[in-house]
Amino acid sequence: MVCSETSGKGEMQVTHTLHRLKSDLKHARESLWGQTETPPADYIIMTMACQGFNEQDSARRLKKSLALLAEHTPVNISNGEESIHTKATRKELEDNIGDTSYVAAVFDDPGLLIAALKSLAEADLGMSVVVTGNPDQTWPLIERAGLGAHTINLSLGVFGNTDSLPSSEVQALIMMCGHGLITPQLAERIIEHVAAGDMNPEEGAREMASFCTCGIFNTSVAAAILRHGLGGVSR
Amino acid sequence: MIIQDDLCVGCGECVDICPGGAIHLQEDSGAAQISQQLCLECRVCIRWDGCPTNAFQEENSLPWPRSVRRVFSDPVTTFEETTVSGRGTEEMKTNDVTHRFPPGSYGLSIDVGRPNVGAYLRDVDKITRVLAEAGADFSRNNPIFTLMTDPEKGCLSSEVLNERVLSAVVECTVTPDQLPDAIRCLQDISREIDTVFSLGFIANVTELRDREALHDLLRECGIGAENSAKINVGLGRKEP
Repeated sequence: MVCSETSGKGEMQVTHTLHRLKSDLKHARESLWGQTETPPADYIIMTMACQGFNEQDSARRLKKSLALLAEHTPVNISNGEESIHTKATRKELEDNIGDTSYVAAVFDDPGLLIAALKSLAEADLGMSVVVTGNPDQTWPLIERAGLGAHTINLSLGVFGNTDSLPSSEVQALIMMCGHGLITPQLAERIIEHVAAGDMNPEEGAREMASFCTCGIFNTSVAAAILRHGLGGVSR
Repeated sequence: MIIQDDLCVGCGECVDICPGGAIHLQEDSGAAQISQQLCLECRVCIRWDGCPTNAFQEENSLPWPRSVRRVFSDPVTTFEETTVSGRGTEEMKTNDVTHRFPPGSYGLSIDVGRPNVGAYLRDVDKITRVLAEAGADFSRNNPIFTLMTDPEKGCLSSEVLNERVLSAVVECTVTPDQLPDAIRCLQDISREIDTVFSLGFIANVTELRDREALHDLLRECGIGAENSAKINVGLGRKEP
């Protein structure tokens, strides 16, 4: 087996956007936010070409999708290898897009998701577009954008030695990096730093997002968890 | 991955950022050290900018079979045999173009080691064997398939079984008749592995009568869905 680091204009990557909102995590989040406040939403849009079918000239179309998605103020956006929270600039994200890259953008508001989907549909780029989130929310929102579901991948949960998993609050944070690059220990350390006033919730969220190379970590949700999980502690 | 003893100042800041839990401080010198057994070769530490002396050092090319660790653990590493990076394939994300999952054919994605636990490939081997018995058809472009010495039986090469990875995705398709047995086998084997797996169920919904029908199908298989899903919205087409 041979492997190499991707060049930025190299081969297609896949992301791990699924499995980020288990039922018990949803309940944990709701208990954190309480009854009166609407929590930030958690939606991801991913655009990609298909290898062997339509990847030719897709760099140009991916750059267009990056520009379109960026207009709708995502809380995170990436080219699959680097994101705005791994210190890449918007121009660097664009410059490093190749024909087999993909673009991912994270939104914290349903209206923004609808608007972004409408923009992609109007642009008619011919690339596949995938939306991740709670399907009870995203499916109707997709339809409100004038689109429909073609294929669905439903999370059926976590099996096996689940005793080895961290607390629900920590899971709710670290599972937003589907590749598992944010450790429970790091999340716990950041929770402690925020509690001690050494960093505010937004700084804590950005610190965690800096480990998520494919840029699907929702900093808005993370900051809310850090803030409300700590009784509203904020600097 | 190693830490250069002469550069490490023993601050311990790196211990918590290692997804493999492989970094510890040595009792005698106080310097950090990486357990080669636990290291996943994910490269999180070398990408991290928190080491005050840049003490991490990596080999440019890992020897076989250790090289599989990086393929499955570093998301910016490419699996050159298939030109696909990471642990899985495009699966349903481009199904509007490939029609790999036609109506009435189902996909299963078993993300072994996820979330955040990691897995030895011997546990992946246990899972692929029971899926093979249930009649699953494994995805050819998936790195796990290339590690199989006998795809009919789902056997992985004995050379890789003791390699530890952050997670590995087993991807397969099953017929409607095979689906209940495949899910039952996965539920059974989950009690015999020393890790976790996250399970995904893929379906083409272009001919679905209503959304509840999916949940009815899963209930008949003795399983429920979580509140998370990826939805391909059908904007892809074969010609650019």
